[in-house]
Amino acid sequence: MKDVLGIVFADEHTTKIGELTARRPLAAIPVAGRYRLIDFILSDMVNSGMINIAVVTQNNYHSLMDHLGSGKAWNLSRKKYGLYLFPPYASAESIGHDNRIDSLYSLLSYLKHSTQSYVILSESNLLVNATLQNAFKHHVKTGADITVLYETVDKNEIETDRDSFIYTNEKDEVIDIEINTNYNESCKRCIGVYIIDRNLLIHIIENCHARGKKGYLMNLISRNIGRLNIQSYQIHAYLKRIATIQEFYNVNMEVLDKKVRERLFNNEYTIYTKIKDTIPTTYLENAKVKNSFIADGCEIDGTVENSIIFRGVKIKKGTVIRNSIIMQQTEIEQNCTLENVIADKLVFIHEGKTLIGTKDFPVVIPKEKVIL
Amino acid sequence: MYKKECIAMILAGGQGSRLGSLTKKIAKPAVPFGAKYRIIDFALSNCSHSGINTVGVLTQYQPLELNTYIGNGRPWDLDVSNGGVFVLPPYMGAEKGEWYKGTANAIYQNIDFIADFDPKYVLILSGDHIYKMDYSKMLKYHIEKNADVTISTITVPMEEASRFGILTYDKTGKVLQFDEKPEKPLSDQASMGIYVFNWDVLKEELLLDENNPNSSHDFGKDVIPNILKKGMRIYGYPFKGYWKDVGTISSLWEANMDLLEKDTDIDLDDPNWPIMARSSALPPHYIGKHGEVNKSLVTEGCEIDGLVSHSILFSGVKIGKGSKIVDSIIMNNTVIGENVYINKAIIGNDCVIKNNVSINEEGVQTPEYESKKICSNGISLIAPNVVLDKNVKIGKLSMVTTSIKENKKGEQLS
Repeated sequence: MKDVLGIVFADEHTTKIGELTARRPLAAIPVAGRYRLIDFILSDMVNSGMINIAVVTQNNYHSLMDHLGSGKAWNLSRKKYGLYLFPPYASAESIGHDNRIDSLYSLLSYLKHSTQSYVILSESNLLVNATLQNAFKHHVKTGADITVLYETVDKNEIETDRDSFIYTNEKDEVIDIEINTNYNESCKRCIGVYIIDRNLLIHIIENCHARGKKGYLMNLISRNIGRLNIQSYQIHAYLKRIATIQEFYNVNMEVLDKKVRERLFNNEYTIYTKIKDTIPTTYLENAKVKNSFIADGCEIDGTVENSIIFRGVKIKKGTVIRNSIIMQQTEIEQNCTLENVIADKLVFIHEGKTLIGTKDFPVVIPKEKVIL
Repeated sequence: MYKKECIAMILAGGQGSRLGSLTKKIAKPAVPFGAKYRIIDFALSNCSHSGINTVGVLTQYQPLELNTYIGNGRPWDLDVSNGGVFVLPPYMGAEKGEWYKGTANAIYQNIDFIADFDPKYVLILSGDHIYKMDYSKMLKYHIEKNADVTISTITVPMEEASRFGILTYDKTGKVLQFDEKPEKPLSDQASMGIYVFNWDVLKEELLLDENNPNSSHDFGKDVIPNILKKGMRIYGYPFKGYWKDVGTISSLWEANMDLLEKDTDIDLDDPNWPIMARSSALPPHYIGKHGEVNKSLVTEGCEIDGLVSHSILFSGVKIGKGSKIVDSIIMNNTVIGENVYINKAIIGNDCVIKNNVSINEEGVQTPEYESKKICSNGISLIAPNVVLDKNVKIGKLSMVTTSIKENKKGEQLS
C-alpha cells in the first residue's frame, strides 16, 4: 500500500471525555497501558505498507508532537515521505481553521505534491488492528471512487450520539448517509475511515473552498451519492472507538480479556509506540496482583485487581486498587483504596485515601492532581 | 573522516565458554540480562552517556545475533552522522587474513579504522561487564595526570585478588607494578579491563607487540607489562560502584538477582543514566486470575497465571496455572505450562516447558545432565530452544542442551 497516502485527523477535543482531554487532544490520550490512542491507526497504516502519513492537529497538540516526534518509532522518519504534522495554518486569508474542509485545504499543496494514487482519511480515536489492508483491497476490487468503512452495531445496545450511519443497496453501494445523528434506522455506523482517489479529493477540496462549503461528510459523501461510485466496507477485525469517558473505561478494561489481547496485539502486526527504555516492573514483597495489565517501570507493593496500570506507576504497601485505570508515573501512597477510578498521569495520592466510583461513573482524577 | 578526541573500542569477541550452552549460538555480550537488556547494553549506554559517539565493536565468536542487535546503534543514540557504532569482525587483507589472536591483536588489526578518526585518545572496553561508569571522568583524570595509559581499577576482596590483574600504585595513582593473576597479590586493586590510551602510544605499542614472536597479544599479559617496563606513565583510576564480570553461570545468576535488592548500587532506574536497549514495542504484561508475583522483575509481553517469586522474567514469557517459579531467570519467549516447578534455574530463550515438569526440585538427582564445570552454586541451566516434555524432572547443577521427551516408564530419554 505504498500507493496510499494517509491523513489522520487528531483535531478532536470532544468534551464527552472530560478531564482527560483538557490538556491533550483525544488522539493523545493514554490507552491500554503503554499506548496513545493514535498509535493504533498509525500502526495499522504502517503495517499495511503506507509510508506517507499526515497528522492534522487543531490545538493543544504539544503532547501529541512530543509523542510522535520525527515518526521514528513508526519507521516514518524517512528521506522521502514519512510523517508530516500539520498544525493549524494561519495565512493572510485565514486565521487557522475550525473545520475539516479548511484543514484539508491547508494541506492542498502537500496533497498535490505527493504521488500516491489513493488517500485514506481517518479519525484518530480507533483501537484497531489489521483492518486497512483488506479495506483497501475491497476499494480497488470494486473500482470505487470512495469507500466508507463501517461497523454493524446493535441500536439497542449502543449510545448513538452524533454518529453517522450509512444506508446501502444490495450491491453494498452507499445510497444514503445520516450525519451526526441521534436517531436512525440503519445499523451501519461509520467508523470515520474513508478511502478516496487522491485527485478526486483534491477536486472536492478545491470545489468546496471556491463555494465556501464547510461540512466534511456533507461534501465528501452526501453530495456525491448518485454521482460517484461510493462503496461500503464492513469491518471484521477488532475495532473499538473511544468518544466518551465510558467508552474509554470499557475499552481499557476489555484488554483484560485474553481474546481481545490476542486480536489487538497480534504478533504479526505490532502496535508501535514511542519507546522510552523504561526499566522492567518491580514486584515487591507485598504485591498481590490479579487479572491486571501492567506496563514497565512500575513498582508494586500493594494489591491490584482487574486494573490497567501504565508505565512508572508506584503502588505502596497496604493500598488496594480495583477496576481502575492508573496512568503513567502516578504514585499512590500506603493504605489507600481505589475502586473504579481513572487517574491521569502524574497524580499523587497521599496515605490512607479512599476513592470509590462506580463502573458506570468512574472517578476521574485530572493530570498532576495531588490528593492530600 | 571527522577528527575525534576519543573513540571507544569494545572487545566483544569472546566465546564466554564458562556460560556453557547459553553462549552456544551467541557471543557473551549478547547474553540477555535483567529482564530486558543484553550485557553489552551497559558498555554501549555508558559510551553514549559519556559523550563518546564513535564506537567500534570487535566481534569474532558467533557474531550474527550481536550484529543484528547492535544494528545502526539507534537504541543508544549512536546513529549519528559524525560517528556511530561499527561492528568490526576479522577480515581478509590483500596479503593475509586471520582471526583475532588476542585482545591486543584485535585492536591491532583495526588500527586503520582508528586512524581514520585520528583520535587523541582510545578507550578500550570489555563488552561483558555489568556496571555504570562515566568514561568522560576517567578521560579527564587521564588528561590531568598526563598519563600514557590509564587503567580503571576496582577494589576486590583480598582472597579473590589472584583471579584478577592486580595493580599496585603510589599515592598519586601512578602504577608501580602490574601482575596478571598473581599467586600472592600485593594489593586489592583489580584491573577492570578498561583502558584509556594515548593514541600514539597505543599504535606504537601494538606494532611492537605484533612483531614480538613471544607475545600472546593480550593487553593484560603483554602490552601493559611492556609499557610499564619502559617506565612510561601508567595511572590507576579507582572506580567506586557496582561492577560485575558475568563470566560464569553463578555470577550471571547473582548479578541478575542483585537487581532485586533495593540497596545494590546498580540502580537501573536512574533518569540521568538509563541503560538503553533495543526493544520491540510489546504490549504490557498480563497477570492472570491465578497469578501471584512478588520480589521479581517482569517486563512487557509476559502472561503470568502462576506463582513467581524472587525471579526475573524476560519479555514474552508465558507461565501457566499452578506453576511455581522461584529464584530463577526465564529468558525471552519461553513458554511454561501448568503445574511446573522451577527452582534456582536459568532457562534460555524460546524454550517450551510442558506441564508438570520440575527443575531443581529438592532431592531430585539427574547425574546424566549434571555439569559441575559450568553450573555451580546449586543452579541448573536449560539451553535456549529446548523442549522439555511433560513430567520431565531435572535435578540440580544440570545443564540441559537438547530437548527431552517423556518416557512412558517414567524414565527420561534424551
